[in-house]
Amino acid sequence: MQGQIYGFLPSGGKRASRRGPTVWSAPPERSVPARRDSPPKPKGRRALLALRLAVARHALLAAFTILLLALAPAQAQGPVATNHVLDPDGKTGYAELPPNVPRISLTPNRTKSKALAVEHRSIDQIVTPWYANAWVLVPGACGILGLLGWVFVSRLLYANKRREAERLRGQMLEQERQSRAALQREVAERKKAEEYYQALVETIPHIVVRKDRDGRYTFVNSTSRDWAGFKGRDMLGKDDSVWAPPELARQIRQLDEEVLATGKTLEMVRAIEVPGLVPRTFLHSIRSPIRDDYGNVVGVQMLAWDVTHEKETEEALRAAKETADAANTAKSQFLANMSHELRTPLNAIIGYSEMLQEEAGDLGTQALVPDLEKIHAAGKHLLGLINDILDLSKVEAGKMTLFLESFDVPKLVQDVTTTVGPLVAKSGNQLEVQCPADLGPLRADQTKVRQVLFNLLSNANKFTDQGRIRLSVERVERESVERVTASGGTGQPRSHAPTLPRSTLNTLHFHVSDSGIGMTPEQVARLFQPFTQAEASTTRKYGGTGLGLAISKRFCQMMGGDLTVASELGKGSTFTVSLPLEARREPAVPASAPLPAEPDCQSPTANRQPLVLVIDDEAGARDLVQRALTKEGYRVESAVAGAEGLALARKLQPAAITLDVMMPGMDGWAVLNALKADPFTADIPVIVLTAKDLTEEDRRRLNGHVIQILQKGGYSMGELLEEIRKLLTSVADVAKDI
Amino acid sequence: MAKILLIEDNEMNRDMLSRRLQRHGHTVLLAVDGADGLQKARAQIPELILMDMSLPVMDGWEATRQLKADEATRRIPVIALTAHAMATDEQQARDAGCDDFDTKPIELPRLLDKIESLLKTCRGGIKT
Repeated sequence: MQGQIYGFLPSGGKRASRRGPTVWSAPPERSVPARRDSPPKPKGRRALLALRLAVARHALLAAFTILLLALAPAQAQGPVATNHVLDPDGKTGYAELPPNVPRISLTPNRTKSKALAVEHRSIDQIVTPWYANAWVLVPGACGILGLLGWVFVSRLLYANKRREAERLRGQMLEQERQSRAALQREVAERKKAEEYYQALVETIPHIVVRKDRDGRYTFVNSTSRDWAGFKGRDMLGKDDSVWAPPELARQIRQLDEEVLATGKTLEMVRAIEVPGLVPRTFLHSIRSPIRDDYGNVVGVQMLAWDVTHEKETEEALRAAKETADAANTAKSQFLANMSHELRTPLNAIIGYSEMLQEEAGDLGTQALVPDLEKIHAAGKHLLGLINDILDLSKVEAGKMTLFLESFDVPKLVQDVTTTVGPLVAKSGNQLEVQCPADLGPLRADQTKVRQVLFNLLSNANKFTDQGRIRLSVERVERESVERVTASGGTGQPRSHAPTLPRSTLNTLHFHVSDSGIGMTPEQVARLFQPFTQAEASTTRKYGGTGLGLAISKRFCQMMGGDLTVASELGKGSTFTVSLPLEARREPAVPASAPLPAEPDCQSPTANRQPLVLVIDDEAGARDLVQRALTKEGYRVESAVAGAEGLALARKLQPAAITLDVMMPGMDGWAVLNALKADPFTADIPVIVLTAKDLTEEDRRRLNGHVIQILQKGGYSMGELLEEIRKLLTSVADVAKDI
Repeated sequence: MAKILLIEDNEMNRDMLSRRLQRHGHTVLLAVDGADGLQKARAQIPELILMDMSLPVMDGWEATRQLKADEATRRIPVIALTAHAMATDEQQARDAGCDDFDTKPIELPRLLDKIESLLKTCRGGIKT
């Protein structure tokens, strides 16, 4: 049999063509879903999987294509067969036929009983077609596969790139989304902050305004609007003239312009008043420039608040202090007056009792003498007390003056011991004096030194019975280092440590010691307090006012020295008076301070210019003098009240003081007395400026204390300046001489 | 002894001092205020004047100034007496022309010493 028979037996699988069954037994549609059920693979694995799927899909496609190509002609021709049922035995056979006769293949149909299916085919169909051999099919398939592979690879590459692009795009989108969110957040925060500050500035009870260069408001908070009477209305773009009277607006503009011109912050407290709108109010204001990005001043901003209450409190305090000072002065004045008034009748008591003692002797009524002596002694005692009170009140009222003179110390000591001798002898005590003859002179207030020594000696005697009292005097050289520390920066106020010329560095020490009852530390602590004695019982037992030591200490301090005590209970006490050899008051201008011979040619900027203190309650006059002096190059400090003036004089040690006489509270007289009583200010020359017509009495009171009296209205600024110039030059000369 | 003019407004002090001075042998003229004293000094030319400073009508400072300005009374020594214990008083008294100064209450021996010494120098001065 030459022909080839293609059996299409559905059950004859084994003999069927090699491709058919293989392909159909594993349809790709079923395998893909199965794979898809598997859990998602990692990225690399997923790519591999996709690759495999693609391979499978393409392979399937290729196989299908080849099959189509292979079968196409046959299918196109279609079977040209006719079924013939031959014989029932089922034998198949065909006769030899010429080539042009169609061949008939007979196949027993086993399923259909004895029937035989006969297929007729033309001979061309049975012959193998041209392409059905390996030489065509293999290269074809390879070509197709190659093509498909290329397509696949390129698709794969494209997909990769596409995926990458997708990823990048996603990233970009995410970034954009994030930055937009950040921006929104920031905008929201800024807005919130701005609202916060806006609310703060709006609700702050202070005036906050901003103005442009032309004085028009660019920002106004609600407090400012309330002030300006623009409650709830807009003020932006308007200037001060919408609320302030022209004069005030002009003043405000002037201040603003100063800030605009100088670019400096301007701070001040000033009173403003707008009738019908703003009651008299003290405003503390701070004006500062507003600058643009290039630093140019483009406007002014002002912060201001009401300090009226503080001002009023300050004024009230000042007034209260002045009242208190005045009351204290009045008290001292009262004591002084009263002591004086008491002395006049006392004078008569002492005098008459003395006189009666004499007359009793003449008349032969000696029996009365002891009684008269008692009256006399009591009167003397009372006089002593009154004198003490007077002294103390004078010291406290600043009316105690020092009369400095040089005197011989040994002679003074002798005088005092002679006076106190009988007293000491009466108590059965022994007085021992040790005073070197070569002490040299002491410059101090002799009366006061005498009083202090007498006081200490009689005190020692009072508290010592059958004991020993010792008075010794010694000269103590102080280290010159102290001068350096004391003078420190020249020209500085040194109220605590007066600088004294070289010679006065040496001090004299007077020691008064006794072997008396002594004191406890507590008693020592209270010792120098006026009206206090070591113990209440002391007064009963020993008498005295308790003023003696307080006065003595103050006297010593006035002379630049001090009074100290060391005591031991039951052993006795030692009082030490230390006095500078030369109890000079401090010179008003230290010798080292440069003083101009020609005040005209000095620079006003130099800080070492002589300082002049102007004490005047009248602002106008004060201002006038101050300006004239400043212009001349002096440094000027001013005080509006007597008490303040005193404090400043002490603190600043000015080279000269100009003083108004008529002042409320502490008047010029009181100031003058206090200045002269204080060793730290006593030597500062004072020029009295007064509008009052001075009486003869007034002039006498001023005499010796005041360098020059200038009648207000009657003197010119030139005269005043000339006076001050003269004065400071003479002080400089004196300083040079020293 | 001497003729002394005592110018004092306080009656008790005037009485006491005048009696005590008389006891020591002085002749005492009395005046009650500055103007009175000035007039009596001019009229009677005493050898010494004791002058209280706080006086009515004309005070002691002014009276002293006028006495010292008058050729007739210029040479009469004046002792200022004052109850003011203020140390400035002495200077003021001397400035007014007083030759000496004493404070009240008067310590008679001290005052007598001052009177003696002033009288001595003045009489000496007149003699020479």
